[in-house]
Amino acid sequence: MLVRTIAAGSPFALATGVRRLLLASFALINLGGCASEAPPPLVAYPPLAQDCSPTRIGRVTVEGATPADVAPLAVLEGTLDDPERADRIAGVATELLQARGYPYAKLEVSRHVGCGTELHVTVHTGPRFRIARLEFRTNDEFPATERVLAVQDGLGTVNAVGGAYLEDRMKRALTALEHRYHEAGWIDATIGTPKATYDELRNEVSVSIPIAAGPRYRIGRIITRGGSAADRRTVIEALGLRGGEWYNGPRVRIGINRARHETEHRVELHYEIADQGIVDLDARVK
Amino acid sequence: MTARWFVVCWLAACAQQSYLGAEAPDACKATPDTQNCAAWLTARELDAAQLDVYDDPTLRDYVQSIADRLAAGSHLSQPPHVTISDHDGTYAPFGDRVVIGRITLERLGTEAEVAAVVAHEMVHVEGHHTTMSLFGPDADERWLETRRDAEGVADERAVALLEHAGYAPAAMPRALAAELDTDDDEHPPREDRIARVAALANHRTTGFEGRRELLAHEDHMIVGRDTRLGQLIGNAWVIASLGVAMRLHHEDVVHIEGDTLELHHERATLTLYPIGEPWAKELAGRLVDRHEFDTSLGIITVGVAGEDPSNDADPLARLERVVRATLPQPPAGTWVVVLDRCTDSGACAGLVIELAVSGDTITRNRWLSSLRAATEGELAAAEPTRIVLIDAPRTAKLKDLVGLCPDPDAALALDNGERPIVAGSAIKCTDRRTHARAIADVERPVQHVAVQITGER
Repeated sequence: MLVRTIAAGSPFALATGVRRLLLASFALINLGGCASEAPPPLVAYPPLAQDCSPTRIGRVTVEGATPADVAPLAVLEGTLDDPERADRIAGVATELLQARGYPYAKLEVSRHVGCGTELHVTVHTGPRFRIARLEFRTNDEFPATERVLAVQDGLGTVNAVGGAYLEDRMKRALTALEHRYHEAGWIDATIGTPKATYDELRNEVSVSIPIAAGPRYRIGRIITRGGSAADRRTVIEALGLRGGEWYNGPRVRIGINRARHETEHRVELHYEIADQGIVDLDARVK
Repeated sequence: MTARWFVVCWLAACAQQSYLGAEAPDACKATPDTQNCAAWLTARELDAAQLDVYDDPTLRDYVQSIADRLAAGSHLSQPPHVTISDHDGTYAPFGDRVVIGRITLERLGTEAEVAAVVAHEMVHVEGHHTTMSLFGPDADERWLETRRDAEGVADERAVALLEHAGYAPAAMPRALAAELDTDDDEHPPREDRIARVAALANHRTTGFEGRRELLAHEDHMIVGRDTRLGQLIGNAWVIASLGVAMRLHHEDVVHIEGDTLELHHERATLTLYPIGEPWAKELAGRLVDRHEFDTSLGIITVGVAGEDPSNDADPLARLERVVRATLPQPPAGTWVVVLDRCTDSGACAGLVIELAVSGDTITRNRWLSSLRAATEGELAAAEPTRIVLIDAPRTAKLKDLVGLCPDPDAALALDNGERPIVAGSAIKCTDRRTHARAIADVERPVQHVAVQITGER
């Protein structure tokens, strides 16, 4: 589960943060225009005279891109002039451009005296690269579509064919994919470091991901210990699992929770690799 | 070529999508308009899953008009959609939307102060701060610094948006002072924030304040938590929005947190909370070993909470799945009772009862048999406290006038006590003392519904 939060939290309270923040994991980098409703007629209040005190950034001009392309810098207009903060924000704006497929993007920010301090942002985006090929080097039977979707981000704009390549997000997605392999029965699966090859002539990236899946495990014996014979029968029935089935993490968890609810005792489940591709389950009634 | 691929993908993958019982808008299926689609999902989540939209179209339109004015002086091509949530907290979720908490509004005293809060959130939208954080560094000290920078920028640029829109800049430090009480790692310290915007406002009191306008829209607004979502009345927990109550027994330990009731008896635990009806239907449909009962209270579904069965077949489904995972719901494997109920007024909602009884079926059945329809008296007692306006008989500071209100302390919490009030202008009061809800004698239960799990499986 994504644990990062988006930046646009409340100025006042963050209590409900995690719920809304997960939305951000699907953020599109392409922040295009939207259809709009006709706004109701507004009574405009007369604007106040602009304050051009020297401690304030009175204006931000952008060259080589639109203000929306460097939005975090563009909204410095009207703020207190804080050069260190502006440098940090320029760094983040550069990373945003890289996330949109401009791996060589660079920004230069210069200062001038005008209405207070004026910032001039020069943007060198460089060429835009798209993923042309995304290959998983494995011959296991994990569903291929699920693999592809598991690494996609930004509703298909990042780490998908046609989208931008972001290595840190790819690595994070691969950690989650490895866990899904384990849950689906490939208990020994490991996923290696992705290799990205840039084709400077075609502005394309090829990404190759090595997967050592190992065997897919089946459930072997299901053993119960402790408690009364009736307790053990209840646990076996509540688990709802049978020897010979593929190991499935979520089903095992639901089963053990059901067993805990249906007995008056605590039930612990232990796993033991019995053989190549066989895992025994050992339920202990406390 | 690439762009066409994306459009084709979206058309193929997302046609005829629905979410929490409503058909998704074109933004979610016809074009790759993620901003609007995510905004719609957010609103749907608040409304259909969490009962967290404050249903006052006039108030919403009013706050939207403030956003419209502010947006005209921003880089945004259109104003973000405003949603008034029913709880505290104000934020800009990913998408073209700002969510303003009703409880945030109640603490503000002028339209310019509301504009200050809206402007802050609008800068987050304008500055792409959601995206900035998402694709920025990992959640470490540098990430926190990025967040603090974004929050500081939002405060300061909000002053500029107020100026452009003709609002008094001095409203910004007042709004921050009214809303901030504690510090956290993700925002600059409270005192620094107020000092920086005060420097930008530079004591300029020119500009539109709009106290009368705001108070006119807050008249009769609910104050604090909406007690219809759950309130202890006598010896019952009453959920007036559903028209149901659960009698509480003296042998249970009762724990209440917001809209959630928890009962403990030895090793058995019951957790009860209201949710939106579409979400209730989805949760009920997902139960394993499911049994459904059509009762006089509504449709009751009993079973074991399963995991979200949706697959990752398309991008929107993934987005929905992630959002759903964050909604209030029982953990997989929990015994659950879901009530889907429509009241006589036609309003529908759901109630989730999570049961972890460790085999104590007597307690479980006692709890479930305590669920009944709420009485008229309970429903009346659960009505929330609301704002009423009274005219100041003399010119004075607000703190010297709140004695005219039914609950002076509550009135003082609704505004700045130092605010000068001119004779004849309005001040906010609560319509009664906030602790006067509970009724001494609960009427006899009129209807019991016993849900027997034993033997059903």
